[in-house]
Amino acid sequence: MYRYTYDEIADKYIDTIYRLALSRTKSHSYAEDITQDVFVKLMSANKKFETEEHLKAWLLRVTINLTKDLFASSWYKKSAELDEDVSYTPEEKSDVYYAVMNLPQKYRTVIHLHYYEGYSVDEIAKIVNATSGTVKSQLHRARQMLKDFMEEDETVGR
Amino acid sequence: MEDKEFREQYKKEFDAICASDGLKSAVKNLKPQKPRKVVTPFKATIGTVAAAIMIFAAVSDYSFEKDTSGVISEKVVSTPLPETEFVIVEKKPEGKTTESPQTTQKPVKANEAVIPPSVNVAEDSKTVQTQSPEINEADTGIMPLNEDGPAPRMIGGDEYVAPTVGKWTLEQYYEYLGVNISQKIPGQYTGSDTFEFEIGTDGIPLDDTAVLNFITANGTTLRVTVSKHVLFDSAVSGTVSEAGNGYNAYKISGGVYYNIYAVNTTKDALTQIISSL
Repeated sequence: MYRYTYDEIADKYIDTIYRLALSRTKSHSYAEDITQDVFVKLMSANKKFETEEHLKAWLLRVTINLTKDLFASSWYKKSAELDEDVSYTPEEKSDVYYAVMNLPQKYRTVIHLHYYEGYSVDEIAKIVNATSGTVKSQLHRARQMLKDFMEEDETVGR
Repeated sequence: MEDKEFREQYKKEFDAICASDGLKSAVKNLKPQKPRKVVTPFKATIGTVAAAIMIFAAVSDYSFEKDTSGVISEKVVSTPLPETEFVIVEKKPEGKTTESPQTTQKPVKANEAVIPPSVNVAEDSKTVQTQSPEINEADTGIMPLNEDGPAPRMIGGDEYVAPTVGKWTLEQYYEYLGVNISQKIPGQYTGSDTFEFEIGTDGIPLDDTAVLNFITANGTTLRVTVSKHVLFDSAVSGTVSEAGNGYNAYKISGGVYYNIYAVNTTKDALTQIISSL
């Protein structure tokens, strides 16, 4: 049984959760809300974790579920158009960042889990509760879209 | 661009993104209320009754020794039983006599003898430990959920048994909370009609938090996060502060935790809403 303290987990995984939430919501304020809610769930859940990896996967899954709840809420649907969109962030970002942020949300998630968190297709499938085939297909489609975006940018930039 | 180059650039971009200091502080400060002194529902009831008798005696100038009249006083003051109490249950681990008793905390009604399963949080270190659940659904008083259990899955090479998922209607959720929030919030409910919860092996939701959305006639949108778990220090209960495009308010009332995010309103209006909870 994996033993942990809340403070240790907060220190270690707050950025991980925040980045995934930001990648999914494209909004700093929503990402902050989701991150807090994930830790609220951790604190209130009566969960046993076999390993730290198990705990991390649970945190990521809860992050995804909470963002799904957010997207499904009528409150979000009504207010989404007023919210900030980090694809238009004033900070200097690379073409890669803008290209990824232009992807549909489901593609951003698999890209993030694969390229940033380093999960395999099978591991991502378990976290997002989808089949490996679906994840593989989403990754393939996302790569294709990224390639198109970036080629388009290069053409425009010339 | 090669896959490896893309990965490096993507990592570099996201490595630079970190949670703000404010968020880190907020997450660190999330903690349950400090446990009160050890008290059982029976003791709490006895204590309340005793207090009521003492108050009664004080206001009526009643002497316990000289009860001869049969008529005590016209002034009657009663102390109502608290609807919800946090009950700390001391429990010795079975078969072990050397360990100190474990303490669990969960809101339960004062007149219900319930031994709640819970996350054990040591106040000094916030060490989260788990305890074998030893109650069933009937013990919790929570109505059964429509179960739809997913199959065990493997994550990171370790077996992960996904919790069962169950659904509650809005009415069932209000019944569980013990309060109809739609009657408390001055607005039209616009949220979901059903709520899914992951249910632990003990038959109760691992997390009972739900997000309820309302819109008022003035166009104020209210996102009300509710739970029976106490999720913040009671010191912030009743406070309203600026947040994002609106205001955020916290309230603990009747054993229910409220976190309200309101847009298109004033601080005073939100203060008035939480004061009515």
